[in-house]
Order: sequence, then C-alpha cells, then structure tokens
Amino acid sequence: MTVPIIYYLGLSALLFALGSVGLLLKRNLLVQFMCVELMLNAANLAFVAFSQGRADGSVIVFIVMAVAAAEAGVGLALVVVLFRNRNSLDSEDFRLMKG
Amino acid sequence: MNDSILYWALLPEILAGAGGIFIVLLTPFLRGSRDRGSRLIPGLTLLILLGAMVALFTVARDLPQSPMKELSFSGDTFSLSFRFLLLLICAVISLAARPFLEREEIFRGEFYALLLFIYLGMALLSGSQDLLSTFVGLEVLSIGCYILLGLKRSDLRANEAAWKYFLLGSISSAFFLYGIAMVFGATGSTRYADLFALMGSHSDKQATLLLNCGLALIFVGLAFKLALVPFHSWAADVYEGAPSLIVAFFSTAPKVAAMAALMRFFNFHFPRMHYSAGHFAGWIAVASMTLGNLAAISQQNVKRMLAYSSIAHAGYMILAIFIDNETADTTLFIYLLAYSMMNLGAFLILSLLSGKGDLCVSLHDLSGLAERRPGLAALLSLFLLSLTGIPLTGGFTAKFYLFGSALKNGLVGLVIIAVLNSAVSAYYYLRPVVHMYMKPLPESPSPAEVPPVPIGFALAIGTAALAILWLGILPSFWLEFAEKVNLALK
Amino acid sequence: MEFILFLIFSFICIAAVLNMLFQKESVYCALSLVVCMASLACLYLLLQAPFAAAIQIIIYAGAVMVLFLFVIMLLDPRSDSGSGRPRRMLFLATVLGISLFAALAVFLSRSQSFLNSGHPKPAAGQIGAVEVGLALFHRYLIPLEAVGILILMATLGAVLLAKKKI
Repeated sequence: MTVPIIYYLGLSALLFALGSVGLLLKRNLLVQFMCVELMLNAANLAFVAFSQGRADGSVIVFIVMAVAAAEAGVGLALVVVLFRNRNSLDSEDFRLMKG
Repeated sequence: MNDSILYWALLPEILAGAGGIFIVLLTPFLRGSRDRGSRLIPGLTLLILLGAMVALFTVARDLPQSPMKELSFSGDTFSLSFRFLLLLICAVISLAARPFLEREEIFRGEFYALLLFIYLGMALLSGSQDLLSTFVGLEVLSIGCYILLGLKRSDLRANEAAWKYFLLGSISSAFFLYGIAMVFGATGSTRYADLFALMGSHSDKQATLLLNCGLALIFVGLAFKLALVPFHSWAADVYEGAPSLIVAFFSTAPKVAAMAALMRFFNFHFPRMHYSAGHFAGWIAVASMTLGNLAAISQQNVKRMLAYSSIAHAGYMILAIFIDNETADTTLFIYLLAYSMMNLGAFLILSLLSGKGDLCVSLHDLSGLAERRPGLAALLSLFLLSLTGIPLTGGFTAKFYLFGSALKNGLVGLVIIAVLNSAVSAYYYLRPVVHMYMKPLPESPSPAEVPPVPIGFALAIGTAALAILWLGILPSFWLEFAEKVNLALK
Repeated sequence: MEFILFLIFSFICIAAVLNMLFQKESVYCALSLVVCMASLACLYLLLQAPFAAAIQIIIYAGAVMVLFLFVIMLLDPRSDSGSGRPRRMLFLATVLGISLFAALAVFLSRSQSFLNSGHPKPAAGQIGAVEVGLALFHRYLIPLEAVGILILMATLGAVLLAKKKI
C-alpha cells in the first residue's frame, strides 16, 4: 500500500509549525537557530514529496542543503562572537536597543 | 548555443566574481591595515567595478533580440538597468569605505571581496527567471549582509543587530522556501516561464489555490528584505546598532535587488495578480507608508528616523507593482535611483558626523552644524529635502513619475494616501534641517570636533549629490536612459 | 508495508522534535534534531529519492549538526535557566503554531485531489546521483555556480567573524 502524498505534506506542515513554535518558546540562541534548521528541513520534505519521482526535487534539496550549511557556518560564527562578548546565550540578555 | 548567450549576458558578473576571488587570494599577502599594499585593494575594487560597468554597457549594446525565456537568468534590459544601479551603489560604498573602516579599526581587504560577492547575488536576483536562482541570489545577499553587520566584533550593539537580522532573515528565507515548495507542487517547475504557461493553460481551481498560497509566502519572504510593515520590526534596531557606513549600503542595495526580484516575479509574470492578491499588497503598501511615517516622527536618533523613513519609502515603491508593464520598469528604476542616492548620501554624512566609535547621532548633535561645517550641513539638507520630495531634487522627480503613472493606472486611492504621507514626512525630514540652521551651537558639553572630510568620502558624497541634482533638474536624461533601455526589447 | 514504515518514521520524527522543544540542555536538543533528520532521510528513501536521503545524512545530520555540537562543546553554555519564557509567550507560541499548521494543512488538503491526480507520474524509478547530476549541470547550472560563491563567502565570513586574531 503506497502512502498518499498528502500525508507527507501534512508531516512537513507540522514540522514547519513546530519549528516556528520552538523559535518563540526557546531562549537559547543556539536552539532558536536549530528551530530554523528544522523549518528548512520541513520545506525540503515538501520538495521531495511534491517532486514525485522526478529529479528536480532532489536537486533543489541538494542546493537548499548547501545554502543551509553556509548559513549555519556564518550563524554559528556569530554565536561564538556573541558568547565571547557576553558570556551568555540567553536571548533575554540581548536587549540593548528598544523595540 | 544557449550557454554562450548566457555567459555573454553574465560577463559583468563573471568579472566581479573573478575579481572578488582574486582579492580573497591577495589579502593574505598584505598584512595589516597600515601596510601600503593593502591600500591597493580599494582602488583595485573600484577598478573591477568600473570594468564590470564597461562590460555591462558592451553587453547591452549587442543584446540578443530573443528574450531567452528558457534560461534561468535573463540579461534583458530590465536587469541591465538594475545591475547598473547596483554597480553604482557598490562603487560609491567602496570609495568611502576605507577611511571609515580605518577609523573604526575594522579595515580588512576581505570587506571588498564580500562587496563584490554580494553584488553577484544581487545581480542574480535582478535577472533571475527561476525561483531557485532567486532563492540562491537572495541567500548570497543575506549571508553577505550578516557578515558585514557582524564585522565590528567588539561592539555589543553591532553584535546584537547582526544576530537579530540573522535570525529573522533565516526565518524569512524558510518561509520563502516553503512558498517555492508550494509553487513547485502546483506547477511542477520552478521556472517563471513554465509557471506562467501552466497558469494560462489549466484553470484547475485546486492548483491555483496552492499556487496563491505559495505566492503569498514568497511575497512574505521578499517583504521582509524590504522591511514592509508587518515584517519591519528588525529595521530600526539593526539600523541603529550597525556601523553607519554598512547601514548606508544595507539600506539601499538589498532593497534595489529585492524590489527588482519582486517586480520581475509579480509584475512581469503574473499580470492577473491585480485581481487576486492585489488587495493584500495594497494594504501592505498603505500600512508601510503610514506606520513608517508616524513612527519616524517621534524619533530623536537620526539613524532610527531614517530607518522608519526607509520603511515608508518601501511602501511607496510597492505602488510600482500595480502599474502595468509599459511604464513600470522606468518608474521603478528612477525611484530606486533617487532613493538609493539620497539614502547613501545621508548615511555617509551621518557616518562622518558620528565620530570615532560610531556613536549615534541625535537631533541635538546636529544643532548649529551650519556654522561649523556649512558644506556638510548644506549637503545633508539637500539629501533630506530630496527624501521629502521637494521640487528640483531627485526625490521629487521620482515621486512625481511614480505617483503620476500610478494615477494613469487608476490607483487614485493609493496615490492620495501616498501624497498625504509625503506631506506628513516633511515634518520629520525638515526638523534636522531646522536644527542645523536655526539652533545655536550647544554650549555644554562641547560637541566633538568633526574631522576633515577624507577624499574618498568627498567623492562618494559628491557622486550621490550630483546624481540627485541631475535627476532633479534635468530628469530627461535619466528618463531617456531608462526608456531606451526598456524600448530595446519591444 | 510502506504505510507502516511511514507511520513509524514520522512518529519518531515528531517525537524527536517534541523532545527538542521540551528539553532544557542544548546538547540534548541538538541530538534530538539529529534523530529527526535521520528519520527524515528514511522518509526520503520511502519517497524513492535515495540521493536526497544520502545527502540528508551526510550534510545535515553529519556536517551541520556536528558543527552545532562542536559549538555547544566549545562554548559550554549554562543550561536554559529554569524559568523559561513567561506564560503569555507560551500561550502566544502555541496559538501561533496551531494556526500556522491549520492554515498550511487547510491549503494542502483543499488541493489534495489535484496532488494525487494532477501530475502524470513518470515511470522512472529511484532518483539517484546520475539523474540529479544531469539536472544539476544542465537546468540548474546558474544556482549551482551561485552556491559555489556562497560557500566561499560563508567560509570567508566565518573566519572573519570568529577567529580570535586576524
């Protein structure tokens, strides 16, 4: 019995929503960033599900992963800089500017 | 055959990319900012940018007549004009960068390489005919901006600004990506041409629903980059915290590129959007103008004020999406040219006035500037007047053509709101001018001495001022330029 | 059979994500994200995309998450200070998450029959490295080149930002 595509899409929507919930719930910068990675993964699942046996989905996933890896490199470098200057990764501690 | 056309169309970008890689390889051999060798790099960058501009004009002269719909990048006249503008912005920034970066002790050769790479991403964005290319172009632009914002590592405010922009930026790219996934699901392709053909051929209601949902998410992703209203919360903090010169770049070039992508996607390829999603975009435009202007009124910090003003300007620009194909490119190009030049000029002057350490400039700090530095005060007033849209400045020409062609398209309501908003904006744009000319020099504490203007800064500010005045007094040259560029395809 | 496998792996995936949301230590969060990504790779296999599954393991679970773990070990941050977010934020997050999910689910389920019928399913079997490579160097050449520049830029940026003495 094959699985209807809609199930995969439902899972991807759920993961996307859970990622955005995590962004609001977590205070640790690193974990917030992990939630963004989760959202990208949800989009990737949607691509593979939508492509239904064509190569395009895998190609897009490949490129998205390369982009995500680049983003992770820069983001983690920023985290390291922040931690060196503040000795904390709590997002509540970052309130120098109003708004 | 197609490949050779593609590479020919991409000649300026190939030049810029090769130049950037060359600079990356060169910098390890030139240590330290005091080294004479490392002073070569700004000049080299300028040379590369000028070379790319020459290449751009060469490519433009023998542009193939076929619009190359099947390729993922189009070197058509629309992208040519926008790439010209992007090169101009990069050139102005690289002129002014060295004195500022040396003052803040963050001068690195890699800054210039990053500038060239970001140009590459923005150029891709302005000519992209494929959603995946658009996504990658947007990411090159955003990741470059994250690095530039974080460059001043010791400054806590700059760190915080960089992190804020990074986190919100990556969330917005996740939304953008999910939107692409939905469009891909509805049409089975990421090519604009394929989407358009499929949109025309089958009127499957369910596919259209999926497509519209995807389009809305893509719009959200781009609206974030433009700081349109529901997605604007980062703008003021990032502008305040980041080094001023980088804000000058950051408030202009990404907006030009994102606006070009928005235009290419929503205006060229989905003319029917007027009826389906038009209301949505219209409300966003109104909200951005109104909230941006209202929030700007109460700001004491000039950088924050300009941040809110750029939100309002992004709202005006959205009007161009609704204008039909014939005049839209010309108007948008003129508006973005004026906007980027006046913003560049204003932020460059602010980064001079802020002094070492790049402290924020408040209205109070500007008091009596006309006595001390009449030249700088006059130029800053010129840029602020142009932002207001006073006649004889570029801002007026831009607003005149934008609102005029919006009226021709029957957008009376939106234009009335935009004009009212421009009138409100005069209040906060003119307040710094009043401070500079009418208020006396503050007695105590004595204001920090403004150092003499470095020659690079003078050239950069001069270029911006010249462009503004030229566009304001003799707009016909630029209009002909933009129209010639647009007619070439018809 | 396929359906059962789908159920198992999607259950593992959701459980891992929920664990990530309720964990306090960031190391455990990272590890549960690795579990989630590995189960997503199994789902890609079920979707006939072995290439995507392989790179999911190699790049995401292998490289990106290891980078995260390295940073966590390097910085050794204190765990999330117990109190967490204020209750109002918790409420807001839940409402937002549910509404986002509901909106996406409604849009997707409305187009369900289109998705099941719309595309002519090509007979092609699994999507391996050959198909991906051909598409990558023909149709998607420009994005690929741009990604090359992007990775160069990110490397440069990471060094510029994080190296102690440049």
